[in-house]
Amino acid sequence: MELTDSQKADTCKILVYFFGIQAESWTINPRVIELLGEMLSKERACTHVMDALPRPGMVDRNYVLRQLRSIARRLASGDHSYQLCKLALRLGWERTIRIASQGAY
Amino acid sequence: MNIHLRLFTFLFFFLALTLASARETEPSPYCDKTASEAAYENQPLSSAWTIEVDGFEVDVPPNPTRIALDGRTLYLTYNNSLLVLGPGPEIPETFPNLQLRDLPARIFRSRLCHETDDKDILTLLAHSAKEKYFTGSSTAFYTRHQTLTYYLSDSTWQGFNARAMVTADELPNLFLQIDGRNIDFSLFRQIVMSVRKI
Repeated sequence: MELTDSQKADTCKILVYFFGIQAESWTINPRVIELLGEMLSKERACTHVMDALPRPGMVDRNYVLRQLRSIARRLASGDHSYQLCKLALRLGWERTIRIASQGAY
Repeated sequence: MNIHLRLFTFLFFFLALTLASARETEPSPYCDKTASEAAYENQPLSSAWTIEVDGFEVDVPPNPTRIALDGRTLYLTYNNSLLVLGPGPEIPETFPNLQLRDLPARIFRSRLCHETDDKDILTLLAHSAKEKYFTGSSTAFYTRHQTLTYYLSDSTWQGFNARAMVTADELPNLFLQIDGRNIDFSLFRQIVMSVRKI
């Protein structure tokens, strides 16, 4: 699957929001998109944030791709209710997505 | 509006709200998982590099094939194995009273299925994190030495097969997070147990 530049840019914005500036250098590949969808829809602390995403078990990479712009916009609005979600994600997902960006998972 | 349409609309929103609310209150299958306490044992590595990470010192196997620093997290690759070391998440300004040092204990030692205080950030975080430390694990324990507490598990959650956190009594706002991928758990245990406070 070929990702467009705009999909990569939106994914990068989301990853930087959650994991910090170091995520700017991560390679965005289809596995990263897949994990991003899984992360946002399954992480219990994020259910209130990611209401646009499907429920666990229904995550589809194409659906996530269609939602990227909307998620990136909402995060850019700076709502502080996302902080708990951010903390929860940093506890496990950051390292998983980072190794996926290296093609190692 | 047609009565059937009204009824359908009411039923649709009723079901949607019921399902959404059920999902948010449904406890995680890992919410009651806890670890046992073990005696502290430190078997030093026969040869090691000592590295400093955020106020801690740790012995790791020497000569990694690749070393990468990503933010404050260190990724050490040994052929097919990976060792990741770094501090846990930083506390956002929105939670000024949060003491992250208490999080590992809440994850490893507390049963949270019937926890009712959903305003407690630490409990919410621990509830969410239990899956990461107990998925597929056959070994999960914690142990204490001097002012440090070590929490380890062989969880297989999302790409890793060994996970640990180390807290220090004197550092309320952080803990050290160590994860291993394709790593022998005995070796991982030796590495984690070598952690000491600088």
